[in-house]
Amino acid sequence: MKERILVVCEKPTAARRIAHALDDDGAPEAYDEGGVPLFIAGRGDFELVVVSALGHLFSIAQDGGKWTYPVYKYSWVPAHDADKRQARTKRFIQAIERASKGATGYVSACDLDMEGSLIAYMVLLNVCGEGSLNEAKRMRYSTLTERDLIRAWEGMSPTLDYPLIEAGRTRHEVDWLFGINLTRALSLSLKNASGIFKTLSIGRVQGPTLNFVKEREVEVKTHVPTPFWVIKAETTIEGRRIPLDYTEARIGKKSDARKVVRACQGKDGVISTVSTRRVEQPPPPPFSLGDLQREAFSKFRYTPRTTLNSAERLYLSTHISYPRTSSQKIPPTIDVRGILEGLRRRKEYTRLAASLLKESKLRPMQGAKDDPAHPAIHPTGTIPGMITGVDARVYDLICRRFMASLSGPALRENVSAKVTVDAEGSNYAFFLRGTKLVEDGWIKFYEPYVKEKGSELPKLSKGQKVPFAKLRSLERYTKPPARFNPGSLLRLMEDEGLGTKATRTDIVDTLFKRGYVKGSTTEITDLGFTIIENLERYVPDILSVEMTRSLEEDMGRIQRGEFSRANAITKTVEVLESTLSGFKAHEVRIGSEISGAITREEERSSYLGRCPGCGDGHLRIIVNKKTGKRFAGCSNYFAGKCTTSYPLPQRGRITTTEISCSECGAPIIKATLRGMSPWELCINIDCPSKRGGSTDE
Amino acid sequence: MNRGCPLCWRRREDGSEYCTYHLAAQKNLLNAFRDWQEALELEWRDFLVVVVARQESGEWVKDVAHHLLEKEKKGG
Repeated sequence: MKERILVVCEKPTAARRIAHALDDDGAPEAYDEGGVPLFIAGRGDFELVVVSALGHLFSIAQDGGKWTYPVYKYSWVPAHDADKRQARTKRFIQAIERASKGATGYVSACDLDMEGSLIAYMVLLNVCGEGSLNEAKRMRYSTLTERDLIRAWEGMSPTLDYPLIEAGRTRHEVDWLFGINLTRALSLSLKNASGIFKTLSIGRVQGPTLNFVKEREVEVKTHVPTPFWVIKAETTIEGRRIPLDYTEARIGKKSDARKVVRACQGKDGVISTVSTRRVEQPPPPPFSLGDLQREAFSKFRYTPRTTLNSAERLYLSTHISYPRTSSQKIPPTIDVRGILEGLRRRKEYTRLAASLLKESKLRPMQGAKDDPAHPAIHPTGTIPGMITGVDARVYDLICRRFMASLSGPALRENVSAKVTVDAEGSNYAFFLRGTKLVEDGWIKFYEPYVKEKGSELPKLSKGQKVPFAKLRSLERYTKPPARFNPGSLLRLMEDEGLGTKATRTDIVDTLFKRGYVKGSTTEITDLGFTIIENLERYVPDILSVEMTRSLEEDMGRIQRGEFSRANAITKTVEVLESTLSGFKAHEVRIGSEISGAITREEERSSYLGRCPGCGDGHLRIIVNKKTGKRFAGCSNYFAGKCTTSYPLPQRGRITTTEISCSECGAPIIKATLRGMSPWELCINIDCPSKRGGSTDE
Repeated sequence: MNRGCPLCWRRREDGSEYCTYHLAAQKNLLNAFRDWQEALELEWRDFLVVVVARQESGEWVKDVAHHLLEKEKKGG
């Protein structure tokens, strides 16, 4: 009789891949245990029972007690007991329990990171019993290809990765303690002050992140533009118009700018020097997750969440390596040549991969960042059949970046010619600048994702006359700093050591979900502002990057075996005790300020424009409590001063445009229906502009 | 009793007419005026009018500039 080994995987797709890879015949028996997939694979003398988790099957819950704070007592419980929305996980736990009967060996085959290690540990501990941990081994892989999985099976670690598990467990417990206590403190302050219940979450990473957004917003809203002038000049050489840069990019005084134009107008410049410099542009390193998310945002405007989801799909379908990595390095153990052989089979990459394969040595460009568990994101060489949309674009970006990182540097020749004008006793200097790509190197691999900068200059020589075809000064104003986009916010979090590659995307998503920020420019809302202002005033430690960073460092020390989970939890409780007592003392004040912010947000989102009926009221979206239908009504209605009202489209989102109709003076509103382009319309169905047309609603 | 900022719902900063953000905007206005004077030889009032009209001006800066102009109008 074969020895029975239980192999625990993180997701059903991964379980199927692993079972197929490890089965001697590549055809494991597949079962469906009440919606839970299970595979029996034969490998030599072993019978492998490959089971799947569904992410975390166990989570933290409060030990009894009421919905209040502070809460410091907790346990790990089945996820379905902690959260009703996780009901599906119950069947997975039951299926694993049945499948584990008779097992004498256990293998953790979850993703090789903190979360994966913790998922398998909790399953073994709570479903298979503590004894199973002594028999448990760990598969370590970065791709779900058959070759890597077999190699991982053959080179399994003899024990689970306990330091990683301990660090993961600590992170969950610390985050739970912060999250539950601060969220309850905020939510209860609102409820006790106003009777409104709304989940207002904040956590040890969410707080400092929201604070960054707030600080940027303050910079934007307190920005005073300052004028400056730029000299715009052009010359014509060999029939081509070429811009000339004045030596000062910005001139602070209008009179100084005018003086330059007055002095040089109608005169010819003379080339005094021509300098040529060759510059090497090294290839970019392969992607870490953050790099990939930023590049996909920059090239396709994909949110970090969209990119991550796509990368996970590509990983589960074996086309790319594990995406949740901080690494920008491809270690020598990776068969780069084999991957290129694979890519060569795909039409788009045939020529590029073939040209790289001609090289006798292939050394990938290595970036500075590393990850102990995984290499940089790279294609596996297994070629997808039909992929379209987001996945096709993200895959193309990864493949081209990988090939570019294996290529040589690009070589540019930059030419700069100094043009001087002697006028009114002064010497004015301008520059003609051009660039030429001498060797395209990695650029041809990364096209179309690299932009060509500048253009080539015609041949220039010292003493050559340069007539001004255009010369003027333009008034410009300093601009406020740009608001964050999802990509730049992730980069800042990464630079500041806030969160991990696995959690940052979720944290940014939560800021949107809670209504603290909005729009593609991550603009902070009144509610977000009020939350931060109150935390700043009464519990500033929660917004401290140093406090969060120190906890992150503790997590690193736990992973290295230099610090204990118990110490980290004690430290967390100490921080929370002082924080929460400060909070409790000002609970009512904080609650009433938050309630005010919620009211303002609601008023702002229901505002449609000035009422054309009475002139001083505001038209707002009002929902009829009996029928549930919405209409626009004047704010002066309840004062008995105005009865103006208009019907509104019943579906989709309606927002103000702040514009009044030129025909009737009623507000123009913007209606947005899912899957359709937004359209603008006058709110007044009897508006003269609509005569001859028809209205649907 | 601390009265509110005349331009928003926030509390006034001690010894100031405005809340912390509008106060910061007012300070930025005063600092920037020196640069504007040098660059364009503008008067304070004209400077405020331009700031209110410029799209690059921050929302709180416009609030303060507008408020100062209104006060000047009432005073004069």
